[in-house]
Amino acid sequence: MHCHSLDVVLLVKRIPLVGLFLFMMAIGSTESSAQQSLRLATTTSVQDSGLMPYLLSHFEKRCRCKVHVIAVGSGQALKIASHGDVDMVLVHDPVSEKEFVDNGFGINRKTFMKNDFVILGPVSDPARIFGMKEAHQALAAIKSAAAFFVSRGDASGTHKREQALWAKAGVKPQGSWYLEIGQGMGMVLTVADEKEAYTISDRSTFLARSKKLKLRILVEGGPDLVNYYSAIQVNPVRFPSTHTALARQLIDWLTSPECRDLIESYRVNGHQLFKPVTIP
Amino acid sequence: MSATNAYGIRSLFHVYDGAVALDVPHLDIPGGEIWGLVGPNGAGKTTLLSILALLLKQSAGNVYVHGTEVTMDRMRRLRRKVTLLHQKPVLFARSVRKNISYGLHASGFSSKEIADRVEAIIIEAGLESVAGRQPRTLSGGEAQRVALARGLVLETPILLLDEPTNSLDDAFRPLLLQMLSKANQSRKTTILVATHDFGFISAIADRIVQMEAGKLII
Amino acid sequence: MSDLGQASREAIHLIFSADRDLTVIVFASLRFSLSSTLIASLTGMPAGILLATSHFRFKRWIEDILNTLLAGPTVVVGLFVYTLIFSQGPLGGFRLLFTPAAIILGQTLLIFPLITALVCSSVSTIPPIYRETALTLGAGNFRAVWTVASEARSSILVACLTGFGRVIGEIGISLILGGNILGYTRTITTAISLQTSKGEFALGLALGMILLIVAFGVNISTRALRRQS
Repeated sequence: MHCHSLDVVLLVKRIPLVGLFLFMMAIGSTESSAQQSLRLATTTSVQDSGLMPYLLSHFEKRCRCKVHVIAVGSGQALKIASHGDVDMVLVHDPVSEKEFVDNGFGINRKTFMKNDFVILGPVSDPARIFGMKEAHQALAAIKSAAAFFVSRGDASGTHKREQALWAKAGVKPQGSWYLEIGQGMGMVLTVADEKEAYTISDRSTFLARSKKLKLRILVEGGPDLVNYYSAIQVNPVRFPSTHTALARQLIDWLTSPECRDLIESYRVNGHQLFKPVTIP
Repeated sequence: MSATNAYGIRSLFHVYDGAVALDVPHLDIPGGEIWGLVGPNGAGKTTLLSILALLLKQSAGNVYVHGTEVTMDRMRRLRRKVTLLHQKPVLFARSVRKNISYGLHASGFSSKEIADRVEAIIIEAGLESVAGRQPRTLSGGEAQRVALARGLVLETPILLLDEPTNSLDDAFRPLLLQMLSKANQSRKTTILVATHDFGFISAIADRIVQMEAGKLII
Repeated sequence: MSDLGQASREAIHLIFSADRDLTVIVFASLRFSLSSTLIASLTGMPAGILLATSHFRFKRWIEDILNTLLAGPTVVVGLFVYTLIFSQGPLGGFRLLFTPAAIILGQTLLIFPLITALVCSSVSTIPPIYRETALTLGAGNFRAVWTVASEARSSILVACLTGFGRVIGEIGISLILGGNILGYTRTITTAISLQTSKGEFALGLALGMILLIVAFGVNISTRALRRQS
């Protein structure tokens, strides 16, 4: 007998409602209670060095809010922000940042700290780059020696800088020696260490892990390797539902004397990783 | 169509798997009688019982229950007048007691009424020792008696049984005869028993009908 | 490798000292996976039962679609949901991206076809005589369906447990939809991934051990339930 009374249909219709109700409860129960929250997309280098959690723990006490940090590459952070899925970004890719603001996605861009990039490599240094003064020359030497080089390959600030240096050297990085892994700084260091390869990294991420790595700093210094970090908030005109006031508060705080002191005094393994700056 | 007849069958025709399973042009089964349906395997006894229990829709023809024609929208209401005991019955995965009370709960009796009826039939069927047990712990004969009690406790006006003595312990055959007789005498229950066991059915049947290859031999 | 040995010792210490970071991550994973399993079960069970007990023209099609969705890789489900809930998507207004709700939504969508298919399969294996028995004893259609389904209750529970097992160890959805936010959407699997990429193994190993223990628990329960049916 395959006739179906109304009963079955009614109950089945009710169940999805119950499911929806429970879903709403689940959402509610997993949101932080009553606290305001700010969504920040930043780069893995800033997050992995430990500076971000350190600074934010101070800021959160101040604003009595919660900052949710999504750590991806600079390129991806700006992309997410251009959709309006976060309230602000903290990145280190000046060219893309200017484009971001010019296109009307962001406002209130403040450059507030810097560090520098370094070229890392194995102690054996097959490409003989140790002590070179010009970063792009070192890269050219690595290509000539066809020595292993690990790249971020993820449109991050670090990756963009790397690409600029290859361009300055006038060489194209291609070949089985060039390993683009499409992941964050931490992973790049792990792979480079494992394969005894060269790579470019920001000094902070490297220093935070240097004790466990076999890689060494081979080339450093010079204007080509300086790295500026800026914070930009998402344009509230374009994305009205962002937490504009909180974002502004954080950006103001990042350039405040209190934060400058925290950045200046932040040490990992005895090394200072970042320097506060004021760009008028 | 006479309402005193438990069943009226007109031009009943059923096809299964491309072959004719039933061909019964005319049959009236008066209420309050006990009939035996005998015939070899494959004669169509089980198919006929399924149709009479309103569990299977016939390919063609009309069935009348207590004078009312069986149609789709009346199916559920009319089905409640009939209880079918399958040839190899299955018990639900719950205690013996809960099995027996299943149909009573489905029909909306009060808890007190249910408890009384269930306990009475447990005693009558000699199931006191297994009343709280789970079906998988029962012997074949015990399970058969539970299925019997589960059907009989409903006291529906019509009772259909398909080979009830097959897995019943011999010692309990007299009990079955007794319970069927009692139902028929005290409540005028119409009883139709499909069986091989001529000796068993001839003890209580008012009438015995033979079936062969889907047809009744009268 | 002594490095690994030391990391393992640290991992065990983290577990037994109920390290704060560890417990936050574990509870988050459990919360998300239990929520999604609950919702997928409450919707998948009736869907599966209905599918098993009804016959309609498109039944074959629906069964085929379900079987295809069963093997859905988590990143594909994650990507699909991402396009729905990010700011530019049709559900963008709900601001679900990078929240626990997004993970729960993704995981629920992942295991709903699985639970439905398994429940449908369990109920379908109950022979028709059960339904007939229920009907002849006076049950209406709804009660008969309920009775048949309850005959399959052990396998239905196994279906839900299987769903849970699938989501507690998944990373694609948690990562893409959750954003691995510390203290908010960081799950066991996304944390292991992050810790490994940083070359820090102790926390990752501890989390991995806990995940294995949970998986083991699911397996034992499944076996016990299978024995019952």
